[in-house]
Amino acid sequence: MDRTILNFIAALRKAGIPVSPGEAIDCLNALTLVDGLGGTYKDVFKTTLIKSSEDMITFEKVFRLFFGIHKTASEMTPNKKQLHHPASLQRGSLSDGRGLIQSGAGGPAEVMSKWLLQGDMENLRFLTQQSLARLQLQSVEDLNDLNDLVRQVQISMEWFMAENMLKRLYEKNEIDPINYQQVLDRLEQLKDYVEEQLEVKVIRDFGGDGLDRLLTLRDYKHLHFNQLSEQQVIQVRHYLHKLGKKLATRKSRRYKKGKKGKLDIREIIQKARRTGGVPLKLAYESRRIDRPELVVLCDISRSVARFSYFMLQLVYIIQHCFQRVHSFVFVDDIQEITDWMKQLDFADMLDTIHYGTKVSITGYSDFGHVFFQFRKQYLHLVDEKTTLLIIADGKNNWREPNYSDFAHITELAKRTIWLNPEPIHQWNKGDSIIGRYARWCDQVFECSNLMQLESVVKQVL
Amino acid sequence: MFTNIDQVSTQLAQCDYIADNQIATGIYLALKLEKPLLVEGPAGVGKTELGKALACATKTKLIRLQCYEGLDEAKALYEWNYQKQLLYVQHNDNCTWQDISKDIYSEEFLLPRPILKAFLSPVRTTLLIDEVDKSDEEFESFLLEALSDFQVSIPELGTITARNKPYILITSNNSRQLSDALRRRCLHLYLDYPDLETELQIISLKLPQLQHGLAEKLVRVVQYLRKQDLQKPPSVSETLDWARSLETLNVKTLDEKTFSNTMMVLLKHHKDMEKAKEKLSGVLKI
Repeated sequence: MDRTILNFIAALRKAGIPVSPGEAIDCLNALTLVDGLGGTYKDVFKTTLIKSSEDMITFEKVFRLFFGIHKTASEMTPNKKQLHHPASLQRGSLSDGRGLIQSGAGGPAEVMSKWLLQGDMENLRFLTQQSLARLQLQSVEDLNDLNDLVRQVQISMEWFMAENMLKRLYEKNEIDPINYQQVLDRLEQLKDYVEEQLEVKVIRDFGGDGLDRLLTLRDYKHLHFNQLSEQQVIQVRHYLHKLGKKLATRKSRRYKKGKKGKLDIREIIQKARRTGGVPLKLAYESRRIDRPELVVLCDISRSVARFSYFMLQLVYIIQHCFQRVHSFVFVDDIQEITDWMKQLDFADMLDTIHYGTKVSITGYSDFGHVFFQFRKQYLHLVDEKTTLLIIADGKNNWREPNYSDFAHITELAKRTIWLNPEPIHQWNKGDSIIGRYARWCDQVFECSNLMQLESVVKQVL
Repeated sequence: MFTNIDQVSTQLAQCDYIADNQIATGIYLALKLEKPLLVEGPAGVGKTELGKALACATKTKLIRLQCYEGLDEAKALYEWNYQKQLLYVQHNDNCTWQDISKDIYSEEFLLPRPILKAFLSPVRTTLLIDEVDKSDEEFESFLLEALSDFQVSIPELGTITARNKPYILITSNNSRQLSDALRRRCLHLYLDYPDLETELQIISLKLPQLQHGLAEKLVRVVQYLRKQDLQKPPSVSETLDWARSLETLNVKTLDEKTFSNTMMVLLKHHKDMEKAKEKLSGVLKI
């Protein structure tokens, strides 16, 4: 029994949840106390092993993967037989003869919408099983992006078409809000079911290796940004939100004990009470940190988009820590978004960037043109107090690099920092010319996962 | 104290606090393993209330320490009563040096602050450290020794161990990352917004006079609002306030006009109120 618990703790660690030996001991002690007294194992695990709310989601998944395998592996077998039965795959009838699709109902998308509106979860799950059975998995190494596999299943179920259909009906007021909310809830439930069944399939097909691979894919802090699932993106956003707040408050603390500087009168008088009102020891306030000025250039082409949005989120949160923040987005054309950052809330700003900017004419980054435009229109924003932050992967698509304009801009700035979300072993390969641009940069960092982003941001900002 | 987890739930319910299995397990383990319980969650879900309910259920005195930035040892742990010491020295001019130096650093001249009060108390107490995320990292370091070994080191007196280990509950609003060392020493409980049945139970418990149909309707509205993307989703305390205000106004049915009039009790941002107004016209018809 203890061995199972310790294996579970090892699985949690593989998924990126840090569990110390002390906590493991607490857990084992707690389990002996709770045995048969009305508590559940899961509650005990949550109390003793999970110490921050972001880890809760990862924990649920690992728990399900670890303790759910044996159960679902046996549950799967009867379904398997049902799916391989030719009759159940043909005209869509269940093995007991009930017709699945009524005559004249239309394609799978319409059927799915109907079931979603009615709340017919059983049929929806059956549809999922069918789509999953059609999915081919070659080997464990191919499992780099669980997201992608889920999307494949969704496409074969015509998920997105059904979703759009229902959305349009809601907008035309043919479904009322509460009903629509129920539909959205059901879609979420169904998506969880798809992920769950996909995981079961992986474990069934690949055994222990599959489980390990699934566990490492849960570790949202070390995964490359493009590998994150939607849920993990939300986890990362929460994490960044807190990080941003921490950075923001760190700078704005007014009183800070220091070894020299201005006298801190309040502290001196407090200490004087101990010596009868006579100040014997002096206390100092450290000087307020000089607020730098920031100019941010964010590449939002598809390869870098996710990372850029995270960075924009961070800059949005801490913008009041800086004297001036000027932010720009670009692909092959540049657009200033400073006012939107200040006035709109984050979601609205993202929408406006999506629909309101014309930064992408060809869809491929063109740094040369971007630097040329920046020099022409915005050079006055850069002076000797500015920190220039460039967020891009340096892949110029074999276009004109325009080193001279870049050199000119960086010479004026106090320091230039380039954050590259591409993994470092791919730099300078193909059309990546990051090495060349790096000549004029003070620092170039690799920022391909959350942990790297955090350490870089703490250093830089 | 408690023999099993269900007993924890029933005792807490008698003190007007609805606790589900997760909460009851957390409390039970914290008491049995003698470790502090760190309670996290959004504002207004009942973290501080849990502390008060725990004190009531265990029939112990509640000692509360409210944290803020700049909170230091002198205000949280102990302080010497300098004025009294000075007066004593001036008063006893004729005593020998040995007598004075022994007496001046005795318990009589020690001003215990909440944490030390909890340790020195002759009866068991419940120590509620509220909003620890508002304090700074230095304060967390002071807490570490106190929380792990239930003892405090006072340089002049020596180490004071707790006479009766208090039940410690720490709450946090998650506004900043707490240090890992603190997290390791505590058991963890995450209090999220309750589901429909639990919230309905809470309202029936606190406001038994309110008509059941109306209560159910307003809980549904609140549950719906929480799923929308609001700046500040309504918390449990706001639901209770809203229910109370509807009761005071003698409202029989919840219609659009009543909602727009009483909305400010539930939602505290102008943008949220506008969003709610657009979406609720359909909802209220059900």
